[in-house]
Amino acid sequence: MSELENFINENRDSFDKEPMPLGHENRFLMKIEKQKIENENRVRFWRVAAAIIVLLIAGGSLLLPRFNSPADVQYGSMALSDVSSDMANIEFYYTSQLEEKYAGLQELSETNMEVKSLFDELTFLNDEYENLERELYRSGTSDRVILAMIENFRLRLKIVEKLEKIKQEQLSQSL
Amino acid sequence: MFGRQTDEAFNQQMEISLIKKQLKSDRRVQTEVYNDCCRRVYASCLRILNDPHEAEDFMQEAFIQAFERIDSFRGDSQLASWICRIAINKCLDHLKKRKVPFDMDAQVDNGERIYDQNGDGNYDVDRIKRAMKDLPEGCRVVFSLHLFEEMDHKSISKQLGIKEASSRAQYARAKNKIIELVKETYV
Repeated sequence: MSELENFINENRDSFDKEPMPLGHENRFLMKIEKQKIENENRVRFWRVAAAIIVLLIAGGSLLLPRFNSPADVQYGSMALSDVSSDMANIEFYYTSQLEEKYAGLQELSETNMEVKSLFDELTFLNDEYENLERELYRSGTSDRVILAMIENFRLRLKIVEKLEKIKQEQLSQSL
Repeated sequence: MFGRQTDEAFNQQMEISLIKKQLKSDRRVQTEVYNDCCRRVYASCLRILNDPHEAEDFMQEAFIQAFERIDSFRGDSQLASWICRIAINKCLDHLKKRKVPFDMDAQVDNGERIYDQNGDGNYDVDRIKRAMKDLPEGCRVVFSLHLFEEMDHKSISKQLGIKEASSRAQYARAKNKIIELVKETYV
């Protein structure tokens, strides 16, 4: 080993005594604080990203049955017309019949107990039909539900016809 | 039940675990360790980079990285040496990015005198430090790594991506240059 190397090895500690730059400790504390904030932001970012991924997966699994069902299905429920074109014809027949006849019943007085009871029954059947639409969506176009929906239409039409008859009677009595 | 040595090893391990835990998040302990070790780490960085601003930056980055990755500190060397190693790697990466030429022909330049290994002994710390600052970059880095950081030429050659012979040549060249520069200051 040369004299130079020996000298350096013997005075090694003196070589490590460099004057530190002014304010280095403050700069270090600022850097470490900044790094901490960046790390926290990174953790927050990944948490949010993870939450979004979970939501997307959950949303996807909820929406998947909808995409597997016929087109134009209302989210969470399904009309008869969504099942097939035959069912669409049936639905069209009953809804047009009901709308047409129902429009002419507006003047009927609900003070008549029978009329009130029939209107109540209609309201009940309307609500029941909405339930059946939801059940049809959940069941994946079950035949049992389709038959119940057609039966519901038939009953409503029957009630509306009864109400028409009452209206006719009321009209002939007033003349 | 446990021998004395086992007890000591256990206590040492416990102490290391405790320090590691504190160094992860306790700002007071982090500052204490920084103040205890910064001079040594800064001196190593400065010898390699020869720039006080860059040396401070890489030294501080090394401390921050060391605290974040304290779990990988096994305790088989001093904490300061471990942090120093991180800092040196950072400095070398920086120089490699700057494409500093570390390589040189294994032969010492023809024009250069090979100084007597037993010089006249007029050395002092400041003169040598000044001389080191005047060395060509590649020379200074190899000299610092070999003599100050105690890396052998094989490790240096791997770290810098040069031949082992080249590392030896750079070291010899650096040594001669320092002797020459120190002598010049006496003239």
